[in-house]
Amino acid sequence: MKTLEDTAVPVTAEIHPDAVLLVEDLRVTFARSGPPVHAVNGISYQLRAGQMLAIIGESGSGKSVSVRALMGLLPPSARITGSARLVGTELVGLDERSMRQIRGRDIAMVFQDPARSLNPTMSVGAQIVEAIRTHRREVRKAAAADRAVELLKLVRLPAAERRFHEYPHQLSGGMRQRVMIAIALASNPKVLIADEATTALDVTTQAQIMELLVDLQQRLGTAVVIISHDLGLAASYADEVLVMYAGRIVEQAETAALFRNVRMPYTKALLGAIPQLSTPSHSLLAVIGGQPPDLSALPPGCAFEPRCPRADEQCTVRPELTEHEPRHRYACWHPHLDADRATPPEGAVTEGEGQS
Amino acid sequence: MTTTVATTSIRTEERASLLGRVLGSPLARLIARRILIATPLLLAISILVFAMLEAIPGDPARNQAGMDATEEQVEAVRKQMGLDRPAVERYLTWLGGFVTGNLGRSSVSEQPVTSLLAERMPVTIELVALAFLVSLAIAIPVALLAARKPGGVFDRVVMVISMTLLAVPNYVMALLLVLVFAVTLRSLPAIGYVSLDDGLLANLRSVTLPVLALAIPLACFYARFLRGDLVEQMNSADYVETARAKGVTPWKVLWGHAFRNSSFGLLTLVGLNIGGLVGGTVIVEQIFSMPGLGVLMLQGVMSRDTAVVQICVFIFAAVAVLANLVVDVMYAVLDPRIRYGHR
Amino acid sequence: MAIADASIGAALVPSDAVSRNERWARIRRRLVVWVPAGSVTFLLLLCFVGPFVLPLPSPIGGSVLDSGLPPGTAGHPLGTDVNGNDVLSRLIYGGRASLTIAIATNVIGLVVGGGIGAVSGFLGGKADTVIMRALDVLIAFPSLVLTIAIAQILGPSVPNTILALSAFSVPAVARIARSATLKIANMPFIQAAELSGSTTWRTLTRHVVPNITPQMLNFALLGMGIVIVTEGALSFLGMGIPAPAPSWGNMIFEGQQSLSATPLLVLWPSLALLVTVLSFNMLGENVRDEMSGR
Repeated sequence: MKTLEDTAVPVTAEIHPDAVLLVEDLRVTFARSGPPVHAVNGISYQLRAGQMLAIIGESGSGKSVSVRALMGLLPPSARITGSARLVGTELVGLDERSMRQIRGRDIAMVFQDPARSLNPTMSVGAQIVEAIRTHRREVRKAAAADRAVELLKLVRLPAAERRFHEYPHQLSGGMRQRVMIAIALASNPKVLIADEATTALDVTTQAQIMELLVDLQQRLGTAVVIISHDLGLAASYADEVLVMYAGRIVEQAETAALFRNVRMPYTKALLGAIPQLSTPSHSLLAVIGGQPPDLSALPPGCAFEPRCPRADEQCTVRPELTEHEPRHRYACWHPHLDADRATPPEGAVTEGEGQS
Repeated sequence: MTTTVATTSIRTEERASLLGRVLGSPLARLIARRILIATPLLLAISILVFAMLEAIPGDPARNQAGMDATEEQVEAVRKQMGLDRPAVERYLTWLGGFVTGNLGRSSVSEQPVTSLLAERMPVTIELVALAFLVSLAIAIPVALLAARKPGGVFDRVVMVISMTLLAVPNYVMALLLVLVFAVTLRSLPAIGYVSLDDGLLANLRSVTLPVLALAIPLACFYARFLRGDLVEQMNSADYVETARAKGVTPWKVLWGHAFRNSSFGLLTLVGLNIGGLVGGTVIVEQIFSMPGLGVLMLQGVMSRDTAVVQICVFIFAAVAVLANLVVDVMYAVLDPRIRYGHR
Repeated sequence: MAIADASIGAALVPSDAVSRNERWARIRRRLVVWVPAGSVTFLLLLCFVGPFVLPLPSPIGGSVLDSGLPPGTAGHPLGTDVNGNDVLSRLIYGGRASLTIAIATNVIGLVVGGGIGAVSGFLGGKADTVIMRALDVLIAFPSLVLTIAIAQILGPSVPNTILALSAFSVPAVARIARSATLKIANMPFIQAAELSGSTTWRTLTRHVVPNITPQMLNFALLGMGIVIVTEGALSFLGMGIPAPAPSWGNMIFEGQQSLSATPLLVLWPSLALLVTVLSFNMLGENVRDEMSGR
C-alpha cells in the first residue's frame, strides 16, 4: 500500500518573517544492529524569534531526538534527512566543524539533569568562561569572567560573585539549572532548547525556572523550545504546542486554541494523565493504556491506533497532519469535535514519566 | 582554573578565617579519620610480621653460633641476641626501635639494620618513583590518543599491544630487555647500580632497564584503564554532552572534561598499585643486581637474617598502607566534591 | 562508538558499508571469545593429558652428554637444556605444575575466601568488621612479599607454594564475595526469603551463594594469570617448585645463567607463560564483559 508519507509535501504554510528556525520533513533513523529504528518521521515546524514552543510527548516520541538532531548531538548511527534551517544555514548534513561553530553560539541547549550536566570537577565560573571563550577566542579570561558573573546575575543566581568560584555540588538543583541556562546564554543564542529542563526539579523550583525562561525569552528575544512530557507545563508557559507521537507531529496549535479544543485522542489522553488540583486526592490517574509504539516496526496507519479508544478500520491508513481549523492542525480521522471542552490544567505538574 | 574576578573583598575574608577552616575542614577530618584507620592496621601488620618470622622453623641462635658450637656458646648467643626473653617483650622492644632508631643488627653483616636501610632504601625509592613517572608518561598520552577515536586503528593497536605486554611478567620483561639492550645491542648495562654521586647520566643508564621492566606492564595497565574510563565518560557522561553542546572541540572535551574526571580514578589506581610495584621491585632488583630493599630482603630470607627480613617485610606492607592513605588525602585535596565536604 | 566524533556528516554512511562493518565486528567479537577459550582448553589438554599420550622423554635426570642440543634434534623438537633434559617435556611438565598450583590456589580462594566473604557480608555487624579488618592486614602486603615470607617459613614444595599463594587469593576473593553479597542481601527476593521464615544458613546457601557464584568464578578466572605469574616468580627465586622438578619459573631462572649463549632456554618458558596468562586474561575479560552485558 502506498502511504501518504511518500507523496506528502511539507506542510509549512507561509514562512513567517521572524522565523529563526525552519524545520521541514526532518527524519532521524538509527541504523545499528537489528532493524532500523525510525525515531523521527518527517516533522515540520517553524520557530519565531521570541516565541516559546513546546514539544510534548511520551518517552520515545522522538521529541528529544528531533532537537538533538538539529544540534548534531546524535551518535554516528543516526541518519538524518530533511531540512532544518537556522537563520538561513542548513543544519542537516552540515559537517562537524561548522556544526561546532553553530552549537552553543546560535543554538544552545539546557539538559534534564543539572546535577550531572555540569562537570563536577570544574568551578561554575570556569564552565561559563569556557562557553564564552569557545566561540570568541579573542575575549580575555578576565573579561570572560566578568561576563560570566553578569550572566549569573542575568539568570538571577544569588551571590553571583561568590557562586562563580563554587563547584556544582555546592549548589542546589535549581541553582545548577540556572547555571546551565547561563552557559546556554553565554553567546546570545538565537534558539534555546530546554530538554526536560525542569523535570528533575521540585514543583516550586520548576515554576521559578520556567518563569526565568519566559522572562529571558521576552527580554532577550531568544526563541525557546521546551521539550517535555508535561502538557500542563506547556499550557502554562508556551505560545505554541506541538504534540508528538511515534516520531510524528499529531497535533499542533497555539496554546490557547489547543486547550480550548483538544482534537487528537492522544493529546486528550495526555491531558487526562495530568493530575489536576480539582481532581479529588487519591483518585486514580487516567493512564494511557497499552505500550508505546515500537519504532522499528511502525504500523502503516496511525501509530496511536492500537491504543486509541476511537480507532476503527479507517485508522489503518495514516491520517495526514492537516490544518483542519485555522492555526490548528491535527492528524486524526476521528477527532474530538464534540462540545466537551478540555479544562486547561491549572499549571499542574505530572508525576513520574520522566525522561524523553 | 578559577579566573580572577573583582571579588577581592571575599578573598580577604576567606583568608582571615583560613586557619579555622583548615582545622575544622572536612579535609582535616578526613586525614584524621584515615590515620585513625591506618594506625591499628600498621600495628596489626607489625604483629603479623613479627609472629610470622617467629614461626620460621629452626633456632636462629644455633644458626648464628655455627654448626659446631657447644650448648653453652649457643645459650650465650641467645642471650646476646635477646632471644631468651619472652616474645611479647621482644616485640615491644622491636616496636620501640622504630622510635629510637635501633632496630637491631643484621646477623650476617653485623651492621645496624637502620644503616642498612638508609643505604638500600634510596635505590628502591628511585626505581619505584621513576617507574611511576615513566608508566604515567607513556600511559596518559597513549590513552588520550586511543580514546580520541575508539575502535580506530591506533586504539586497536594500543589495545592489542597493551593486552599482550600486560601478560608479560616483570621478570620475563626484565630478561627480554637485557637480551635486547644489553646482550644484542650492548647499549645499556645489564646489571649493577651506579650511585647518583657518580653522575646523573651514569646513574640513569644503570636504572633504565629495571625501570622499564617495572614501568612497561604498569603503563599498559594504566593505559587500558584510562582509555576505558575516558571512552565511557565520552559516551555517557551528561557533562560531556553539555560541553559538546557548547561547541567545544572533541579534543578539548576529551582533555579538558573527560580526563579531568578520569584522572581521579587513575589516581586511586596508582595508589593501590604502589604496594604491588614495591613488591615487584624484589624480583627486578634481584635480576639487575640493584642494591635495594628487595635484594636486602631476599638476602635476608636466604641467610635467615630475621632482623633484616622483619623490617623489610614490614616496610613493604607499610608503604602500601601509607600510599593508600596519601592517595585518599590527595584525592580529597584535588576533588572539589570532597574538598568542600559534600559527597 | 565514537560519540565524540558524532556528526551529521559521519551519519550519512551508505547502509551496506555499515552492515559490512557490523558483520566484521560481530565475527571479531566471536573470535575474541573463542580464541582464548580454545587456547585455554588446548593448554589444559596439553599439560594434563599430554604427559600420558605424547612420547615425551623424562623431564628430569637427563645426561650431561645430551646438554645444549639445538632445537630440531631428533627426539628433542625444542632441544635440551644445560642438564641435558628435553625442553619440550620440561615445558609441558612445568606447565602441569603451574596450572595445578594456579587451579588449586583459586579453588582454595573461592571456597575459603568466597565462604568468608559471603558469611561476613551476610551477617554484617561486628563479625563482619572484625573479619574484614583481619583481611585488610593480609591484603596490605604486596603479594610477592607475602608469598616469599610464607614460602620461606613453610619451605619449598608444591603444597606449600599453594598455601603461600592462597594467603593472597583468599582475602582478595573474600573482599569481592563480601561486596557481591552485600548487593544481593538488599534485594527483595532475599528479604522475601527471610520473611518467609528461611533460616540464615538456608538463605545463605540457597539464595546468596548461587547468586554470587558466577561473579566469583569470573574473578577466579581473572586471577589465574596473577597466580601463575606469582608462582613463576617464586620458582624463579627458588622458593616455589624445587628443582630439579620443572616449572616455568625455575626454567627461566636456569636459562638466565646462559642468557647470551642460549636465549631460547629463557624464551620458551617465557612464551609459555605469556600465552597462558594472555589466554586466561582474555577469557576472563570476555566473560566479565558478557556478564556485565556489554
